[in-house]
Amino acid sequence: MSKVITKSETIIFDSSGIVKCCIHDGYFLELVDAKENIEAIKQFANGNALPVLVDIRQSKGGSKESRAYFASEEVGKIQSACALLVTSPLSRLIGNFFIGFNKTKFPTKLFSSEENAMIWLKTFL
Amino acid sequence: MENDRLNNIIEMISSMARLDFSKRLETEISNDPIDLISYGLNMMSEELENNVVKKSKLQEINSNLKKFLIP
Repeated sequence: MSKVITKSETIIFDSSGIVKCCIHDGYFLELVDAKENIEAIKQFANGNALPVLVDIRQSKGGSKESRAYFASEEVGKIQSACALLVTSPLSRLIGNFFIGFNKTKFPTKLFSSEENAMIWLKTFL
Repeated sequence: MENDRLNNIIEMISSMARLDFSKRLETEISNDPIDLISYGLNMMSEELENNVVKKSKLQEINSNLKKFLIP
């Protein structure tokens, strides 16, 4: 298992082949945070596109620039799919805005269950 | 207090209807329903402003391209 802790996220890559990102409690992502997190994922990707689980349940959201960056071509090269883990009304709002306004280059879906998210992400391995 | 917040929300929606996306609501980021509505409106205003600017630029490009069309 490999683990990287950035300013905004804890990122784990294990034998499942799926990158798991957990945004730190109460964090609001700026563009610089988004770039730092993607650089960390690139280390695991090794030139491939990986499925990613992002736990945004404790997040306070992200700037317009960070959301646009996550939907960019550059990120599309290293992510084959993205599952956003949401539960609270706030995290659902954040997730739905991201899916609605920021069209990612890869399939993105919201889940309230990590188990179901992982089942879906495994189809992209 | 709550009436003030609701009035501010109504004012913001009215501004957006006039395609004025410059306003932002002061809000905490929390699961309080009024905070959620305010946060959502702020994000929506940001994104709509972005899209209106993009549309305007595309219309300008389109207009310039039309000048090169052979009649």
